[in-house]
Amino acid sequence: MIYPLCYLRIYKNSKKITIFYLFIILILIVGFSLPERALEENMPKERILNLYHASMYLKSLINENEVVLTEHQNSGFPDTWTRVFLLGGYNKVIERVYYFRYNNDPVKETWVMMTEPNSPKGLEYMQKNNVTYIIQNTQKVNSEFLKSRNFFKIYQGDTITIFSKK
Amino acid sequence: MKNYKPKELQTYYLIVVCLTFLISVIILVNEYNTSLVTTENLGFILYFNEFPKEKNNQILVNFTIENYIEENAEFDYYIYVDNKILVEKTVVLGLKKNIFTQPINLIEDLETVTYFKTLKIKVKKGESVKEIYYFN
Repeated sequence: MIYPLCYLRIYKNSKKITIFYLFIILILIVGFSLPERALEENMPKERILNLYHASMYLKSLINENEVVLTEHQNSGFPDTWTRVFLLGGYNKVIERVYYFRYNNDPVKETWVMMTEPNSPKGLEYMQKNNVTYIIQNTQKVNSEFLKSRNFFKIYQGDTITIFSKK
Repeated sequence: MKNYKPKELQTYYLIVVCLTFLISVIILVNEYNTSLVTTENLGFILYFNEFPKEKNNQILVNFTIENYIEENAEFDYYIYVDNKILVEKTVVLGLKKNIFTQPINLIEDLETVTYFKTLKIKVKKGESVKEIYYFN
């Protein structure tokens, strides 16, 4: 490290090159540390894999105008990645997020669709948003979906369950 | 020692930086790939390949069990039509995709009607149970 820096002293733009060189080193250090934090040994990788698998399954089924509703609150998996896997644009996947995020939202559509899917409002919003598939955590499935004839369960893994709207 | 000219030194540094960057990218990609291909914790996954359809008094049930537990694992699966068990089988499955196409004759198997309301597939592996269902 010191040896090549000695050469910089003889170069008239040494400051710029040093800054550039240090910047690259910083990027490499941060870059190397990221996967260590993101993919720790004790991290449940099966959640990410299950999400990828479920998204690929949905991709084989879903039509152009259909939309996916996911559970972000209590999901237990990084559900926002579904957008990346489906490659259908930002609005292809809508999610029920934490309640405080709805404070300034006069229409809490995603909240109603996920909590009261069988209510007239819930069904109305689903039709309005073209929601056809619903992704939930297998361990925390809303029982409203299970006891309803409006939805059938089409996919089940350890982490993810997918419902289809009838 | 050779005295480098400023231009040569600039080129030399650019090559070193580019090579370091390239090598680090290769290491990172390799690390990601080896981390993500471990599928032993996925358990098993059950899903419909296509929704059951009724044709000529017959339902064709097309589903997949993806096994990530172990090679030649034993699974039990049950198919219910209108809450009545019509198929009960034990199968030994290889790893990954195992596709099943199970025809069900409504008149012979259900003995009553030529129409079904619900169809449920339940798969058991030890204490782990997965099920999917469809409403006609």
